[in-house]
Amino acid sequence: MERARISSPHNWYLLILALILSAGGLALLYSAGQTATGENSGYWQFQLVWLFLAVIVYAGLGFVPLRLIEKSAWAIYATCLFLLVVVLAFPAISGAHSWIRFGPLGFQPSEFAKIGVILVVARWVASLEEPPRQLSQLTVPTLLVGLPACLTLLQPDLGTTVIFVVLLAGLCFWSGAPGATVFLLLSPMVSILLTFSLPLWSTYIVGVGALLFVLGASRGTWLYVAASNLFMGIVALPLWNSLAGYQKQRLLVFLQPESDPRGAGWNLIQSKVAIGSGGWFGKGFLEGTQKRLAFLPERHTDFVFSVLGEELGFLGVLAAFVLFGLLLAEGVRIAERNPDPFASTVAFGLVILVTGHLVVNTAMTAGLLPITGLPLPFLSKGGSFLLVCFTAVGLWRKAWHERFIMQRF
Amino acid sequence: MKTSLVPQSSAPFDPIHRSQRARLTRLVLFGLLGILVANFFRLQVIEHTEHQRQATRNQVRTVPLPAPRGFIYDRYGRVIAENVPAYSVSLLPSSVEDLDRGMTRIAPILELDPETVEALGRQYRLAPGRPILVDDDIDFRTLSLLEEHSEAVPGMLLQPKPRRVYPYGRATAHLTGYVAQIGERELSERRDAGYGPGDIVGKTGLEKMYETGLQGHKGAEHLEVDVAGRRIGPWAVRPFDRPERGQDLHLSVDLELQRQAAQLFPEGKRGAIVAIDPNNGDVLLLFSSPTYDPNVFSGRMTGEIWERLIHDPARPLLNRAAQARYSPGSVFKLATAAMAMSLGVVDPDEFEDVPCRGGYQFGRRWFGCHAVHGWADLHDAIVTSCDTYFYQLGLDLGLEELTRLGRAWGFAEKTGIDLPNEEDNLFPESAAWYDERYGEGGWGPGVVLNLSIGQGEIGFTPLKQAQIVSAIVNGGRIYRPRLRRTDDPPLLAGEIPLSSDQFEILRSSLSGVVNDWRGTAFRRAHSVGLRYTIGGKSGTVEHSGAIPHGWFVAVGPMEHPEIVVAVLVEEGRSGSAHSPIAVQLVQTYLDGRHGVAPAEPEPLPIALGEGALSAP
Repeated sequence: MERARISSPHNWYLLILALILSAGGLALLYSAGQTATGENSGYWQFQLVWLFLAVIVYAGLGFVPLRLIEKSAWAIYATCLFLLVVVLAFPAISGAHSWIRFGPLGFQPSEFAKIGVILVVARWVASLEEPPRQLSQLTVPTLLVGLPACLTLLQPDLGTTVIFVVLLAGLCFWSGAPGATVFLLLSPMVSILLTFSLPLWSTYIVGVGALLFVLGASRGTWLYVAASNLFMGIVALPLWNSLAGYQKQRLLVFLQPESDPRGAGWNLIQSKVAIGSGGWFGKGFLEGTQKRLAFLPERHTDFVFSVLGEELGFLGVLAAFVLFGLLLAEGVRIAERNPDPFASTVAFGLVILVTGHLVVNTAMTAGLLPITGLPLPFLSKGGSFLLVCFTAVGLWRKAWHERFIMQRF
Repeated sequence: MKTSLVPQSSAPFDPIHRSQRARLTRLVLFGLLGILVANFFRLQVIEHTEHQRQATRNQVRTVPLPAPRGFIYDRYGRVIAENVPAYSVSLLPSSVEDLDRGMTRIAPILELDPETVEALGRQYRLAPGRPILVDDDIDFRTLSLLEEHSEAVPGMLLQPKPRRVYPYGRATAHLTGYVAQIGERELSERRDAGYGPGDIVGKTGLEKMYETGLQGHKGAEHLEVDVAGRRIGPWAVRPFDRPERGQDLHLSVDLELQRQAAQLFPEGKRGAIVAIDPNNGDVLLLFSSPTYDPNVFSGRMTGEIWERLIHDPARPLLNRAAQARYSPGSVFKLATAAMAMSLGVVDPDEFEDVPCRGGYQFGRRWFGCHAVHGWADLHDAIVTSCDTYFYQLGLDLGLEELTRLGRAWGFAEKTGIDLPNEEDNLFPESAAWYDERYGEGGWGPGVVLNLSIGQGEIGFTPLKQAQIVSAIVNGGRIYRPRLRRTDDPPLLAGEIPLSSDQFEILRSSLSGVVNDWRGTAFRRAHSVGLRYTIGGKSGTVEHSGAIPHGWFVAVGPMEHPEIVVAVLVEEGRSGSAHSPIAVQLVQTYLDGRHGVAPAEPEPLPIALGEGALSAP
């Protein structure tokens, strides 16, 4: 009785925020579809269908206890891994094997793998007796995240791989591991970035060594950190060379977009021009010239936020950030309040997931980060990720409702 | 089952720990969002202007709209140059590939040869943002053909482009000059003055001289284009800047005279005709032969026509009225007489020392005369054009004085007419000038004899000849000739200081040439029937060729001269032979001035399509 009373009301607040964002997304997709000839690309209609599906998923989650989800975490994770392997056999679309397609229907397994990873790592966190202190204690989550991360890198989908790494760091942090330990875990990633400059890399390695010394790290920690950093330092260059041409270009162009204004720098420059020309109030809904005349590239997906910036101006951008801020703050609150380690970790992981996408995508449109192709939650065209977003909202709601009733079993 | 309402404090998830971490998370989260918002603020508010400008540059292509040139009218308001509607086709491609794609479509329609396509590609790479003019004179049929293909040719622009038309082109060619597309070099020199590729500019003649006023102010069409360079429509903010027509140019020229000159000039001969109003220097007629049709330059100029024009040995593009000089011949005797009278070295009523026996013995050299004139005073010597008399007059003057006065009266100077590229006139500065030219002792004292009859080291353009004769008949005022009609007072370039009696002697001599039975032009001039009192002076010039050049300068009416016509016919055999041309032109002009209705000029059959394009 008690259980029914507490869990029956929806957490309307989260759903309303998500629906406002999605409705805004539909409007933006409608606008992005406007062409100079007056026709509409019609993508917003597809997105509307996906939104219905997403709301059904959200509603359906209401009937599934979190405990059941926790129990199925391994199965879900295994399914995701299986699909990530299968997807490699499908033909590449614009250079990457990221779609499983059957005729007109298709989805991206890497999107769902993000949820799978969060669930399985959360289950690992729940199994802990005490917070992990040593680096070696983080071996399990590292492997759990590393496997799908490597598989997505094979597609190749660099953006999603980066999201996996960020998820790993966030989840380890939430499990109670000390910040220094999490840093040491990720130190080889920094190594990769610094390997292009030998002096920087050398300085960094010395710094990491000093940190290990101060922490009085165990021999195993020393071994992991030294081996992984050296390996990354050595392997980074061949890895770089193995990147697809367009990925290299995207990364390089981010550093200097003006070096190739007609080619790879085009997207970054045009996105900044579109956003910047919006000013305080924007050019008005449906009135964006850079969008309409197609100067703005990828305006349904990667750069949908630039359409917002151009048409609704800084105030529109601010409103979007406020909505996202409210949603994410609520996610953090749920993670904080639910005493159950699994539910709390899942809620937190979803915050990291949505934040990662939000920050990487919007920073890209503003020219602060390279083009990684990560969609903007709720706003970008794309059914798979919209489903993931509403799954996140659904799981937050569950974690909120079940915060008093969950118990260890 | 009992539910624990108290949060478990088991190790990893004790509430204190989690609150700390949640707080840190919020800090990072809002920190990140804050950084992002700050960046969007920078992009959208602080750097807004710059991005707005870039967006406009993306969105809008400005296509210049040519301004109609000002018209050119004759002294009675008759049209010498005007514009007719025509269309131009330009391409505004967004890339070299687009250009190539468009070119393959339209080149067959416009019948472009590969070199032209190549040149247009070069022009595009020079200034990628600007539209390139492919053809600026297409007819309606081609226009509609192109419109059918407009979907497949990105960035194609079809625009009205006024075409310059000269209704009496061949009669006025050297006066107006012609217009044509601006050249690559000219463009780089004049880019600051607002010229762009494909602009039409005056290349020669008045079109060049008054280019600044005639050209008007270009307008612009602001087009919205998409990323592929496809034209979407007019830019809503500012679709159009109206072009301003250039200022009209009113000339002192009489179009009827131009037409008649073109008709009267001996067929197939080279030469020029110039007429000046001696009272103010207004140019009434300026014609050069052979002539050409300036309309062909305004239309689609083919390389073949151009080659033919510049390689024609008759050099039809040369304006012989102002750009070629000839020895003035016997016409110069008027000047020699004026010089002698001004210095008082001659008594006009007296004979010279030696009568004309068909020539004059100077030292060991015999200087011939064209006839035996016997004793003659100044008047008779001019009327009969007796060389023997003028040889002696030249000796009386002496080379030093003759050259000094010639210099003082500006014989070596340009007339200063408002036409580009006027040729210098040739007149020796002094005896030392000969030393410089031929070396000391390299020339004999005989040069002064030649000079006094207008032969030797002396060369005037027909315009100069007319200017000097005008001064002789207007009381000595050397006016700067001018084509543009104006209320400004005439410009005095110099003066011939003689008394009115002395001028009267010269005037009566001029009259005698035509009206005295002994006059060199008596029979020929009267053959056309004189309606006014007309005077004149003939000149026949020996030169390197076998057949001499012929000059005739006519003046009328003698009571108060209103027009001086100078005719030069290269290899015209004699000057007096061409006196009928000059006399008829004088009479035509005077008819116009004194209300005798001139025959209204029939418009030449210039079809505004094919006809204008035919070769000259």
